[in-house]
Amino acid sequence: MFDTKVIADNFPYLLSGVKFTVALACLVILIGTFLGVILGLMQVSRSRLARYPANLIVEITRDTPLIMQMFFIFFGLPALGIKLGTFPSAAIAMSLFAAGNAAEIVRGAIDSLPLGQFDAAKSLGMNYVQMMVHIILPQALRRMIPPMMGLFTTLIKDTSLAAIIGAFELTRAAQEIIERTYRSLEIYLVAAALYFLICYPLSYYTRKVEQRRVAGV
Amino acid sequence: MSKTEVMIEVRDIYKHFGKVKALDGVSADIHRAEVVVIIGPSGSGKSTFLRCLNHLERIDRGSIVIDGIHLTDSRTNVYKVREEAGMVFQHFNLFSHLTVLENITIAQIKVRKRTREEAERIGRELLERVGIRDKENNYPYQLSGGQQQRVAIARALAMQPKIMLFDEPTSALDPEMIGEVLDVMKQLAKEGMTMVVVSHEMGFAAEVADRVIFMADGKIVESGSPRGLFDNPKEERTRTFLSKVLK
Repeated sequence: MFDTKVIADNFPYLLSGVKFTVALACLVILIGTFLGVILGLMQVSRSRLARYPANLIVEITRDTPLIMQMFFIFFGLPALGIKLGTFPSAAIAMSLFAAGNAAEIVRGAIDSLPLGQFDAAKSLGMNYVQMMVHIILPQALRRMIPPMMGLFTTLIKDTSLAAIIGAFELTRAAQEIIERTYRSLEIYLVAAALYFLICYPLSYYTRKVEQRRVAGV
Repeated sequence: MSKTEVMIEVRDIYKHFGKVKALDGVSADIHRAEVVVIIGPSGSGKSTFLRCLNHLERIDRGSIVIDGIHLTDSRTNVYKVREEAGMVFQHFNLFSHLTVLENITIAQIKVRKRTREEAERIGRELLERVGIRDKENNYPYQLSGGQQQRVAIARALAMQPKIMLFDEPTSALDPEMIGEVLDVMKQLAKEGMTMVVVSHEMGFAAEVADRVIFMADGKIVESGSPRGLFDNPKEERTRTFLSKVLK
């Protein structure tokens, strides 16, 4: 009924999928966070020239499904002569999606600070950069950590969408094994367990951080 | 001490928030070492007036000159004026991620470009002066409201400002802590600091102020010595307001 041999036989292949899942997730988290911080800072800027384009990018990436963004880049862009492989397409689409969501977290954290913090920094003669670097961002950063961790967990799981455009990663590896062996139950169970093992430490750490915040530190 | 030199010159300033006229043509001269207390009902524009003095609010029209620097001229002047004008807020606004001492040193180091050692020495002196030297390594949330406000005063003083602006500094405090903050302010006044204080503390105004300004609807209704204004208000608006607060 439950075939453990099929698991043992195909486990190395699943792990090779894990490698790409982790690589894709790391890439997306790094690029997405970097772009997200820039976009978030642009959103809270006083300059319209910075604010409007940032808002546009953030709204587009947040208000359309990630899978559509992937389809657009993988299937749509070739019509404009831009042909990208499955992995780069997935990485680009997911990085933009991550950036839009990270930007909202950055903006939200900054906006949630009491206005008095800005007033106090300005009243001491700080310019915009000094105020952001020494007063606003250190405080906003603490508020960003839990939602950022949540975003990272979501991103890791969403890398599985890359399988739909044919990128090789854990979900794709599982599908390929199942096509050969017809053992959906065993293989999907193990694949799910592998996702869990990647994500759980992050969620666990997030909860720890949140508990510390409640304690007032 | 001579009180003839004009420190803050305000000429006919206007400020709107949407359709609301917060300041509707305000002019005033404040002299060196003068202590001016601004009173008035909420929404009278007194806090906005104070915030305009260090450009936390941008005025729509008019001019403000602080110790010879035209506030409306350029961005450089805005920062220069803010360095010279210390401000104390109703809700203290201490930086919650920094210790008490760091709250006092950060702007000294980053804006005034002092060394850490010098900034800390000045910081400790000021903490001593406001009576909380032993709290320098605490975080703001570990302090009482009165202690936080005294740190906020020390933080502003560390920049060695030429004027101090107080925006209802005791309104958010428990009654038993008001005295400790007012004592620090009285001491400052005695040392010859130029002070503009928005406050509901009539006792403080009567004791310390050289002049009291009564504002209503974005205008200065009348001003005068505390005794003159409290005992013989000329305007009906002032009388009505005082009869409500001086009971």
